[in-house]
Amino acid sequence: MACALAPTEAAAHAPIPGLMGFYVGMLHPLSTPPQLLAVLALGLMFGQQFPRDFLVCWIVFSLCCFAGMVLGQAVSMQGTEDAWLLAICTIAASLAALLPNGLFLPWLVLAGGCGLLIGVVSTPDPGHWRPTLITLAGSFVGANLALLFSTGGVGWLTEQFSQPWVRIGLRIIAAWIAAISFLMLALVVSGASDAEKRSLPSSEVQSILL
Amino acid sequence: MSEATRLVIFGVVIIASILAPGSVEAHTEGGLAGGFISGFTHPILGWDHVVAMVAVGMWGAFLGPPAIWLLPVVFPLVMAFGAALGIMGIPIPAVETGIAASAVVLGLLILFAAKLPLWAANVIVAVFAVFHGYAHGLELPEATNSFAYAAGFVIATGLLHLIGILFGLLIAWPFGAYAVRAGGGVISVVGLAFLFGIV
Repeated sequence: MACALAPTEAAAHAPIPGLMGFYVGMLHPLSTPPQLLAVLALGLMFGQQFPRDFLVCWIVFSLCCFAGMVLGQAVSMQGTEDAWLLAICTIAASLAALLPNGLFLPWLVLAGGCGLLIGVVSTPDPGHWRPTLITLAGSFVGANLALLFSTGGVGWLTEQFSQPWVRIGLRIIAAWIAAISFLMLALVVSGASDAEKRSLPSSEVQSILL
Repeated sequence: MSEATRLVIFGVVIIASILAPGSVEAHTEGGLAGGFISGFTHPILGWDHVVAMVAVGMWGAFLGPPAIWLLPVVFPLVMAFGAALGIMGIPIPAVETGIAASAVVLGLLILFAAKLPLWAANVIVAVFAVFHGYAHGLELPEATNSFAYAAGFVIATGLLHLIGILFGLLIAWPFGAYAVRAGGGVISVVGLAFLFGIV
């Protein structure tokens, strides 16, 4: 207690260089509705059968996320990332609502696709290599933690509470997420969405880190 | 205390908390909050939508498991498809007639305690969900924040189903079945009023 309350040097900003960039990157997968909805949909899909097949799906997600970050440096998806993420989210949430027992192959494809797209959208605009790397590392950790927490949370709920209404509630929430993401997909495709480009502006990252 | 009683009490508390009067605000909120409120109130402010969505829940309760939760799962999924058609501007004939007819048909099904097979119940609910979604979808692109609007809209729809389910659970008591069937009759009459342009 005394150590915790002892006066120390006041620090308005992160004392470790690069930590803020890592933190910004880590929060990025939770910063836009398409990414957040996609991670929640995957969590509901995997979590209802947790831990069955989750390890394989998680490894595929991680590898594809890494591949997406590398690809994002060279390839541009012309702003279609949100539409693809929302499509994956709609399919994953619909599966979680209608087929909670799961199908291994669709699980793998959806995990891979979601990881790849989250990797691509997490790529900052071109800039100095060091802050870019730090931000990407943060995004990688953030995306994996988000998937772990959403899947683990749903798995914990189904394990701890055996009442049928818990599983029913999860399926209803999955149906709601599918409906929301499908509505947003329609808006994005029709061009009526207010969604903005989601990549981190390099000026923001550079000003934080340098 | 039975499971049904506990469910009814729990649901009533939740709904009362949501509908309880909050603080008065002189200005409307924009952005996320404004979009959510706008989406949340949209299904609630149209009586033709309200009665039909409550009826879905009531009929589900009447049919029992698994329809009691499967209908509220199918409805938002198909409603989103209908909304997408509206957003894309793909024309659907007689949307308002379809919405009013949904209240009439679902009300009659409850009134006569019709126990259709699960697939038939799903098809009926899905067809009507397209009309409801289409009407909402036409207004969605005008929303301040599309995510918040869509979330508010879907959650409000789900809560209307929940109100219907809770009312439908009254069939666990002897007098309850009559009350629920009478409720179906009222919904049907409201639907007829919309169908013939009386309201």
